[in-house]
Amino acid sequence: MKKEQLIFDERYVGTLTATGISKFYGENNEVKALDGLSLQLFTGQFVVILGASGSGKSTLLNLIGGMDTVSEGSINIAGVDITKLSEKMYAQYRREVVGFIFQFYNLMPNLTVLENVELSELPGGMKAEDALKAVGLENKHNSFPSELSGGEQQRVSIARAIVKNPTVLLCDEPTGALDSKTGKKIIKLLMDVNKNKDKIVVVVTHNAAIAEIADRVIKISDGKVISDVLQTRPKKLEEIDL
Amino acid sequence: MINKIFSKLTVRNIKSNIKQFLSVIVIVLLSTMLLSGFITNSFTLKKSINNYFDKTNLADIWAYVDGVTDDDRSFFENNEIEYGERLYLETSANITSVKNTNNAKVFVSDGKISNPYVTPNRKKGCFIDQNVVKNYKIPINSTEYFKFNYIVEQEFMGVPIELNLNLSFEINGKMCFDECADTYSTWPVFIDEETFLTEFNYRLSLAIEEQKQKYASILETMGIEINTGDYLLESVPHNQILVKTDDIEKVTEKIENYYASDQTSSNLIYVHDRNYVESVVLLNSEIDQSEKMIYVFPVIFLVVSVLVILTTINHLVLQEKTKIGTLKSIGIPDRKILRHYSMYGAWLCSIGSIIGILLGVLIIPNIMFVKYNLVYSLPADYIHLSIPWYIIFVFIGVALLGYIVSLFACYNILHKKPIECLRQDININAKNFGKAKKSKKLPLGIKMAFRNIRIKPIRTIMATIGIMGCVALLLCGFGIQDTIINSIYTDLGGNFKYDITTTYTSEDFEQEIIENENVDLAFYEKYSKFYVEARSDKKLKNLNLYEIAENSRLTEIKIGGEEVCISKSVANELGVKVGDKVTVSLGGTNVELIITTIKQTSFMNGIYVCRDLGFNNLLGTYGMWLKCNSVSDDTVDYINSVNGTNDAYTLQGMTDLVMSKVSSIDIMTNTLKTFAILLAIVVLMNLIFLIMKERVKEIATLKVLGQGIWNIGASVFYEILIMTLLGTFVGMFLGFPLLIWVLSINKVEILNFIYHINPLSFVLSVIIILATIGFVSLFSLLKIKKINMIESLKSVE
Ligand SMILES: Nc1ncnc2c1ncn2[C@@H]1O[C@H](COP(=O)(O)OP(=O)(O)OP(=O)(O)O)[C@@H](O)[C@H]1O
Ligand SMILES: [Mg+2]
Repeated sequence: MKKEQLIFDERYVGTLTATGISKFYGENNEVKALDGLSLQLFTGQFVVILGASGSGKSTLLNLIGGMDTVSEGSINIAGVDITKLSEKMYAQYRREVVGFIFQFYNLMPNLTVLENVELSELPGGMKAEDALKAVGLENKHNSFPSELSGGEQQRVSIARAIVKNPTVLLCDEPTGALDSKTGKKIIKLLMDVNKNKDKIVVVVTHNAAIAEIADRVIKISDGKVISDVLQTRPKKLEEIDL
Repeated sequence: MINKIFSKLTVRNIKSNIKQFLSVIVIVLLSTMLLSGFITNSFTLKKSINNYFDKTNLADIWAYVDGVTDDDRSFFENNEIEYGERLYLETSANITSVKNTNNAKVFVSDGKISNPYVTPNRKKGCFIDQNVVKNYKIPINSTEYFKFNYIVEQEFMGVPIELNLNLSFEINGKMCFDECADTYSTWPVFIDEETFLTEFNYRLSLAIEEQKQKYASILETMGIEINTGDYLLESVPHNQILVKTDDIEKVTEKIENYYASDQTSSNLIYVHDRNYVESVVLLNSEIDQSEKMIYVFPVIFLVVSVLVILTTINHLVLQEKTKIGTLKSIGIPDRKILRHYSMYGAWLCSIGSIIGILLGVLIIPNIMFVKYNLVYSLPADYIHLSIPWYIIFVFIGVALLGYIVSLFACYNILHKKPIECLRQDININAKNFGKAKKSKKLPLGIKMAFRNIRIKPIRTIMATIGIMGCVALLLCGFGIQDTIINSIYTDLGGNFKYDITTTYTSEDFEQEIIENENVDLAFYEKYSKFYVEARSDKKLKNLNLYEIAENSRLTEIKIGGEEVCISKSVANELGVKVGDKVTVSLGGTNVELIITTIKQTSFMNGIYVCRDLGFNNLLGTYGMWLKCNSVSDDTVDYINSVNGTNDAYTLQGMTDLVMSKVSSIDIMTNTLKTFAILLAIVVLMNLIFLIMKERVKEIATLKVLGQGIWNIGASVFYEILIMTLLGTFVGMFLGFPLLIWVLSINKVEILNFIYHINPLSFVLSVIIILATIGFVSLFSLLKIKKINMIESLKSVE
């Protein structure tokens, strides 16, 4: 049997196109979490998605991240329609292409910091030690998550996401559980990740202040895009108040 | 209001934990099933057998004498001892439709004390044991005869002569006889006095007439008139006195003193109580064993149940800890919360135990009685299922146990402050992991597995003990088979190396076999077998005495001259060792033997000598062991067709025969294996459900990180595998002691167990356990597949 493999078209690497995606919940699909949303994302952009609670931000992120399947529409990344992938390929997509950062970290409680990061290591990618160094946790290798502060835990989860050098980095309220000072550090880290402008970084947040530093701000309401603004002159991180 | 909310909570918790709860119910069901089943079995057996002994008016004392006289009778009457008399004969006998001659125990009595249980209830005639009737398929309603030779010494013309009477009785029905309930080697037969006397006198008169014919001329010349009627008996000559008494010791002493004095012309051969009647001893020990059974398997299961309940409820409480914290923070008293959670255990145990008790009471005694009826001849009328009222305590006890174990499981969390309950990482405390070592070599899955095992000690212990129990039970199940096979081969092919064994009745048989070209004979040895009574200083036992060839080439029993070899098991039972004296007696002949060697045998148990001890020829079984240059089934068929053959078996044929006689043990072996596998499945399933429940979030995270299902499954699998290997390792060592324990309370008379477990059985047990894990793990894969990443990760908890 030929081994299935994700094959991306080199020409399109760095473009993610969502076309008319919808996500319905409920027995009769009466809850429309996303309603025919279309969107194109490019590498190098630091994108912030804003929207009221329940507007469908997380749903969108989950669909892009391959954690859930769309009800309608397609999501195309580098020439591959991920909505058509088999379960196995979906897992491979998550493993090789996507990095996910959650509001509540979701670290493995019984693995050390280093091991948590190693979990995501890919051949040819970054070393776990380097990823931890990048987030400033080089001296916490052998601690368990329960021995860390919230901000440190979130840094581990960032290290876990970046260690595989993902094309798409998705963050769902990464600072939601953190104080403003720590939150800033985290955002700084996320921006640093994209120094080389080779990643699509999407941050979902309630916090409009974060939006001010973004390259692009997409506002969502009732499962639809209501505004999509490119900010040619985003503010510096130091200028904002979280 | 609170109560209403609590009951809603209960319903929802049951729904979301249904699988764990079911596994608790199943395991409680299994253990109470065994417990109540064995209790009922023991109670039923005890009641039935005591009832049986009462109905048949089983004697308390047996006195063997060389003839009961009127002096004796007046002694018993004067001392107001309740007594009865009978004639007891041990002889070889024939039944019309049965080819083989067999040993028989013939009882002729008026049936006052120790009467047989005859169905339908008839007093007169000749009755044969029901198991013999069944085994030999003897047709009862057509005319069948029970025949044996009875030798009487008479004075004829002033000269003592031996008359050989061929007695023959029509079989009138079947019976059970409590003195001979273990009817495997001899035929118990009961004949009432009148029937016996009629036949006896008839045969005697024929014999006398024959003598008169023979010596007619002499009688005539001497002018002697012989009246046949003078020879006939007026009553049956009794040789046994049966006594019913409450004070066995005192009465025995009285009887001994009486016979020691010279108030009587008859002699006491020996006197004994119920403890010397093998069948009664066996039945009583069966009651004993059935009581011990109550503690063997159910205890293993109960221990596992307690652990399963403990972990399940503990898990539930941990899972609910934020809920509990919330309840506490709004001021609901601990007592109420505690009651709520511990009621789960009580309910689950109640449900499980009710079903278990019902199943156990109905199923287990029936299975056990299949065994009893195979081994013993018991009257169906007296075996009624009797359920002891105290079985209710099993229910109360198990429900209470569930409650207490749950209380225990909740205790920990309830004594935390509300805020501690609300805090996230209550159960995952870094210091429980110990120091993280910098060993990079181990795969992460294995590391995770080890750490999980460390932070969940109760669960680890539960799984380990559960698996240990399964492995031990499985090994025990296989070990029983191995032991039986090993035991049989110790004798057949080991101690005895013949190609064909045969028994015969005709004196010409030997010549016919030697001369016949159909038997490719290399050489042969003759032997004779007597079923004798053996007495040591301490004990009395009926056993086989073999007279074999000197320096036998076909057996490993190499004796010569006056040497005597005794089977190890028999030596233990008689309490003798090399150099001790054993008296064997048969038909009035007593011989003293000095033991010179002891040999481990399995079913050819008995005493071996290589000289003629002078027993009456008519009482023995005669056989030949043949070594052939070539053997086939045709050879056996041929030998069987020779005039005077009783039976003939090849070594394999004999092995099969013995095998079939111990087949009742198969029930136990299979029950053991089935329960072991069930136990393994329940324990492992429960474990998997627990692990999966606890780790949904972790698994969802792993899924998000793009780990494949097999990879994630492996980490769960490692955890189970490690516990299983641990349990298996310990279980392996427990298998053998368990085997010895189980078999020692399940002794069978015909085979002496030589304990043994094959290496293959170890391998098989491990394979079965691993296969069960594999099977159960497939479920975990399905579960992993079903876990929804988004939903599982959405909530904090
Ligand atoms: N499993 C589900 N079943 C039913 N409805 C759902 C489910 N998941 C989400 N929804 C609904 O879909 C809508 C969008 O949810 P989503 O989680 O994307 O919101 P959100 O924008 O992330 O909100 P928040 O900022 O509060 O996190 C909501 O109205 C929610 O009620
Ligand atoms: Mg959200």
